[in-house]
Amino acid sequence: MRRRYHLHLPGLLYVLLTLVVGIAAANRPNNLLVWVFGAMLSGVLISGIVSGAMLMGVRGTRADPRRGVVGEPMIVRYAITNRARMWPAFNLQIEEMARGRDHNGGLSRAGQWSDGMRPAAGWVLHVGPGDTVHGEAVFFPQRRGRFVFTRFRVWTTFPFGFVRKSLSFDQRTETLVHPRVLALREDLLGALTKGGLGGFRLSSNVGPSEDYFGVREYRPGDSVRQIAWKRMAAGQGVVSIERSSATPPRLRVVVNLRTETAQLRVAEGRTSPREMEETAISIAASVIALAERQGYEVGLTVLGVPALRSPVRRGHWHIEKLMATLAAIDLDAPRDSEAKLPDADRDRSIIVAIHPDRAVPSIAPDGAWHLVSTQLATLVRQEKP
Amino acid sequence: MKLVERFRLFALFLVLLAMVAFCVSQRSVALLLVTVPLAMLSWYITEGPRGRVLPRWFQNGLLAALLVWAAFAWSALPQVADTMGLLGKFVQWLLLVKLYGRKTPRDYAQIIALSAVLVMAGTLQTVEFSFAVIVFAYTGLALWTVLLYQLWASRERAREERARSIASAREVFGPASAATLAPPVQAVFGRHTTWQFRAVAFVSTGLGLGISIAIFLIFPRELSEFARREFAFGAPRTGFSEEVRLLTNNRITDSQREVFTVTWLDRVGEPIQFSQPLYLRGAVLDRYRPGDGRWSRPHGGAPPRLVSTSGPSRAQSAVAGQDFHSLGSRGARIEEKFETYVQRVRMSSLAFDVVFAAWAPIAIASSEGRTYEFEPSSFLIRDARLGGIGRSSAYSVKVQPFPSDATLAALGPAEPPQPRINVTFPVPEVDAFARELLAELNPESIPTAEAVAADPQSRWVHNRRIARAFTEWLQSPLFRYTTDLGSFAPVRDEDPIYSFLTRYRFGHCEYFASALVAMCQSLGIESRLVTGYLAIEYDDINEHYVVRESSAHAWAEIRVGDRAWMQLDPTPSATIAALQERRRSWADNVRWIYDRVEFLWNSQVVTFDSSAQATLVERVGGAWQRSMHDWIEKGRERLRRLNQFFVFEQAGTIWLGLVGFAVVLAILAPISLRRRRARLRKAAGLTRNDRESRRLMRQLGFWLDVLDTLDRHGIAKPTACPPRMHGEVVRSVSAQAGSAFMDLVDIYYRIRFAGDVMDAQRRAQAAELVQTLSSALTGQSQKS
Repeated sequence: MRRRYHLHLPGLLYVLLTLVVGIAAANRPNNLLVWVFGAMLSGVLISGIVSGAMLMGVRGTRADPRRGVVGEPMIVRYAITNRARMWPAFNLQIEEMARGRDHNGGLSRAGQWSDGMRPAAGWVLHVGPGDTVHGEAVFFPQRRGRFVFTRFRVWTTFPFGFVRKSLSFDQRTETLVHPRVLALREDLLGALTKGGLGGFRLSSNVGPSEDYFGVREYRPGDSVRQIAWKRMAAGQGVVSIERSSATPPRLRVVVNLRTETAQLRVAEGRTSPREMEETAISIAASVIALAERQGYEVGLTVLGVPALRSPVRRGHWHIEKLMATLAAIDLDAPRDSEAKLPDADRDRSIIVAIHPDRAVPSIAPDGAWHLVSTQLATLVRQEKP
Repeated sequence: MKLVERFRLFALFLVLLAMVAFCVSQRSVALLLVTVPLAMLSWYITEGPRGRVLPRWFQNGLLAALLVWAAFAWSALPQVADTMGLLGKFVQWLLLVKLYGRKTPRDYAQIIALSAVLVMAGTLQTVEFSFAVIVFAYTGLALWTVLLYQLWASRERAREERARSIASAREVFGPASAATLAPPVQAVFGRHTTWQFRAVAFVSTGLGLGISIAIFLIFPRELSEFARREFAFGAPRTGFSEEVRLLTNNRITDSQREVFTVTWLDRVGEPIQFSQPLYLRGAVLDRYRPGDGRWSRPHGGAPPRLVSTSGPSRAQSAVAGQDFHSLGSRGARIEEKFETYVQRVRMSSLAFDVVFAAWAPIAIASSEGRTYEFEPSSFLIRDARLGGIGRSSAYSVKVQPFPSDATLAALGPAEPPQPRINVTFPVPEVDAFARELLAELNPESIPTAEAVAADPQSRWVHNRRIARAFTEWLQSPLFRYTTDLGSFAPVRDEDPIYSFLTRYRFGHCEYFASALVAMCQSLGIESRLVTGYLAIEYDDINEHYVVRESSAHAWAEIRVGDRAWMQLDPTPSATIAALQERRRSWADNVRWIYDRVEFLWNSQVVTFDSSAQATLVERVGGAWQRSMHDWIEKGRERLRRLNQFFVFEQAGTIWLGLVGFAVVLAILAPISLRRRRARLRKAAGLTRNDRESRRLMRQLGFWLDVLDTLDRHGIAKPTACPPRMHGEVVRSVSAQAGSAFMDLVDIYYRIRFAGDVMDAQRRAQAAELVQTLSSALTGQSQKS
């Protein structure tokens, strides 16, 4: 924890003006001017006393920020505690500092937060003695990946704005920023899955679909249509047919990152190779989000870089894992240009392969859909003017 | 939050107060009536339902026009000293322009700063009480306003910053992106915000007041005579002037403000109204400078005599229980069997060094012990300001309107001043005019030197006659008394007195008196101009004379003896009487309160100078030293008696000191121990006070040291966070510290929950681990 005092420009001007008034009061026999000088000087003294007393008992803790998403506001909360018994604290500004190192003495794999987002500050109007309040700062991440917050500072210019006093706190927190989720066309997946391997199968649960599941004893209230007449005729008593529940379609997203960034082909006038890769990752995240919203079971495979392989599932936490996998992709890591789609991933599900520069059909079985990052404009939903 | 929203209203009031203060300092009612209502109107226009503001380009245009006007006005200023007044007016109009514009945090900072400049400009112009009250109110309000400004500006900046971030995100990610869903900035505050803000403001105000008073008292100041005269801040504008400048005093004040009251007591102490108006002398001037029409005090003369009074007397005296101190030379006896009166003066609003007394003062007394300077050559009395703080609020002077030669001899210098034979007036035209007039009015000629040598008394007779003749001529209908000299334009290369005598023949008392003295001096008659107050208005109910600012007057004194001077007032007496007739109004019934407070302000604050500082230091320092000395002596006496009681003899003091120290320790130690126990109980979650808890308390002392160490290094363990979980935080700062901390946590858990006992070995281990933790954290913080 470190305390700092800064006399910034308004304070400096005020001190100079006080000196001028003091000199004028000494030269002119005007006692009212002496009063004014005394009042101005007392302002400087009070500023130091009050602000010093205010920050003496202030402590801050950064709450673990939840994951962020590129293009969406990421709220980082701070618990500010005033341990003083009598003295409140007013007008506290909280801001992250861009410097600082982790405990290993060097930068970890996670980059500084300032590499991926603009600075943002939180503001707390008042913390009473013995109170704890929570201020928040809203960041807008511009890049996906792991980011670390190492140190933050609480400062104030209260009461008069002459001197800025600050307290800095060392607290390391890592956060993961998910890739940007774009608003894709709602009919996109429908066009992809129409007539193809829909991945429909029997579900192991009872449900309202038309597929046969099994028979059971007749219960009063069962529909006549459900009665298995043939079984009854065979002397098995009155039994009802049970149907299985519908299974959602299955979709696997395959991200092709086998080609090194420098070897990607960039069309003239297009963005840089790294941005093409990021766009591909964003498209993958957007497809996953769209699929989840439309009730698909989704899986993810990333070819070329070390990444977790995930099964095809549904559910909020499963999607979070997929997004975290995409967020954690390290594009600077060495690429495996021979990586192949595992056989297990070729199971009955729709495969959507996403490529940064050009489609490589060989990475996916026949029937897979291939998307390229340059197609982004045709994939996103067009906003009405 | 309402607290923050009040800022703009406070800022408006601050500006209004500054404007009123400046207008009061300038005594400009027109400026007040124009600018202040406009400023109030700006609130309705800019903050009202429709909220219109001036566009920035229009504001800049107005500012440019203001600058042009200020430049022209400055070039046309008659005196450079009026620059501050012009600056104040410029700032006042500039504030108005800003009030009608859009007000960002930066604009408000400028508005507050400009209002402070406005008040400062007024402070350099006046020290009047009414202005001072406004300045004090402004200072208090400014403190609150600046505090509120900090909060309001921070909120606005936070909102602007948030808006900028959202706009930037929209630029990057598109207008329909989720960036627009960022939450708005809201004020985060704890409990009792408003109450605590007020407490901070009040404490700051109190501290500020205390520090201001301290700085006021110790600020080094040298109020030289030159500064007092030139800048006239020690003596507020009263109508009375110790110097007469004919060319600058274009308008004599007609203010009805009560300056002081005079009770005229006869020999038995009964208040009476004297048969003649009372001419209360303040200054004597006999040197004339023709270049600027200025009368100044005579140089040289006998050194002043110091007379010290002792304050109110307990003896029942015939005159108000006061001890009078003779103004005569030491050993000189002044008889009081001639007509002797007591003039009791009580100051109402203004404070002076000058003691206004009628001719001829013989003794003085005051309400508190003071020292006065008595000038034997002019019979003027002045407060020497030795050993006193502020000005005297009341004094009494014994006067003899018709003193005997013996009295004059006792009061005057040891040797009577020789008659000046070669008295002249430096304006030849006046000299010629006086001779012509004398020839016209009085067939008696000026006595020659031989005639005077033969009969010295004839000179005084001639002086008397000639002076009376001139006085009657000036009081004739040829001349008109007026206080408005707007049409009295100075003529180039013509003295104003000559202009008065020949060209204009109207003016106020200073012109009349100057003309009389000038003509007498031209004819070799020793004469002098006297300024002071004329007490005519008598209050029958309160039985005293009321002297107002407009009662300031000038007259002449002619030498008519070795030490005798005759008062002559050439101003038409009927006119004076008409102007000075009773002016008491209903306002006087309530104004006296304000006047008393204003007097305190003038006497204690405005005229507080280095001598008053020295007196204060002497009094306070002396009292403090005496008090300390008494306390030390009492302490020693008690110690000696205690020593005697216990028969400790020589080393008794040392033993008593040790016992006292032990007693203090015995009182402080349990308090400290109790506090530590309370902290440990809270940290370890021991809510009950049973035997087990007490056992644990004895063994878990090291845990408090661990928590204090973490707190010192800025990684305090939150109360709700389990120790083991907090270990991750410690490890993130320093691996070594994290390891030591986890070992300590293990020990803590074993003792707290597993029933282990803290033996000596474990105690030593814990102490070592605490030391390691502290060193690791210290080393890490130094490295970073």
